[in-house]
Amino acid sequence: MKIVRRLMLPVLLIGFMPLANGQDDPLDHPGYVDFSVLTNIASIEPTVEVSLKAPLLNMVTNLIRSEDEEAADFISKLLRVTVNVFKSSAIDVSEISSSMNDIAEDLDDQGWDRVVRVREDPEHVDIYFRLSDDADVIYGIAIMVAEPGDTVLVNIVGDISTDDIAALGRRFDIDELAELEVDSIN
Amino acid sequence: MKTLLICGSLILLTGCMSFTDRPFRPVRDALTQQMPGIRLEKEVSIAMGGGMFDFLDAVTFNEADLSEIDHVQVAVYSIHPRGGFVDFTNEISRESLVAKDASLNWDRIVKVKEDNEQVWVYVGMDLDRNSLEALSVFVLENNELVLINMDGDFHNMIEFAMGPARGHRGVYNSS
Repeated sequence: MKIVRRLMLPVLLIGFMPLANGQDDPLDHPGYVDFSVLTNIASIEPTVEVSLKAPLLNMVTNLIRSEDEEAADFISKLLRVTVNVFKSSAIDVSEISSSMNDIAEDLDDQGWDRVVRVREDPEHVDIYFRLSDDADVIYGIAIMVAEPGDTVLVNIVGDISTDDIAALGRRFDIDELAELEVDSIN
Repeated sequence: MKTLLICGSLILLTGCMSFTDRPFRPVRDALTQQMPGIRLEKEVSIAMGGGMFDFLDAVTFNEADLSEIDHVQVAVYSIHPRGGFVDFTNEISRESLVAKDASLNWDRIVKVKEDNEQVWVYVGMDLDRNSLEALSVFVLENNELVLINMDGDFHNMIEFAMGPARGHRGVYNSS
């Protein structure tokens, strides 16, 4: 879970910063993941929902541009950040893990790259990146976590360069991201 | 002289405040229209105008830079009949904000739903000006509804709020 928490930090920080390409529909973007199957299985409303879309991200980008051009450039490439957290012991972890496996297989088929997979019963973690054909751009990040009492779904959509991810890692002092190389993903 | 200054300050500050829920009445009315089974009765409300924030800027030597905030309004309503289950849908909360200011694009950014508490956070954006104009929070807890609204230019306020975090691990350092 440590790596998930470390990835969640920049995810949430990113979410409250700025953006840019608001003209495209993120639902048609290759980095978008439809988690509706999982939310239906949970059959309860998320305990926490964070939904940051391009217009807001765009505005917030402008707020930090004068402070940090590099960070602003990175955030300006985000189109959508969604976080859903379900906290309920009523959720059947095995059922939702099974559906996460189905989604993971779909992501594999669609060309997503698996970055992290944890199967330590009852903990279930999948982290995927969607890269462009030349692996210069990360179109999306998908995080699925299920454990008793907690289910977390994260999807970040954008056109993020891998250099930006490394810069973000250096900026936030996250070694795993700072040392990220696309070759290591492939 | 001191008494005179204190009296003057009180008059000035209270002139920038009111205890009416008038700013929230369109929201309240829209909520009750969409949910005719409930009634909202004001318990407490306070509204602070720009003059208050100008004053705070003056006493903090502009450190807080709050002068861009136009209004902060807070109102607490009790929900009747008491004891009933109330569940505002996203559409109901958003429509109530549209009733307050239809010129803004209201977007829900956070929703928290726990056993006895629900929270919605909305931002009001002027897409033509590409600016963040308002922040509204709904807190529904048991039989009380708290409404919070802030209007103004959030640019300087957010920069100020982010200031103390700079240089700490996990937060970017701009220096």
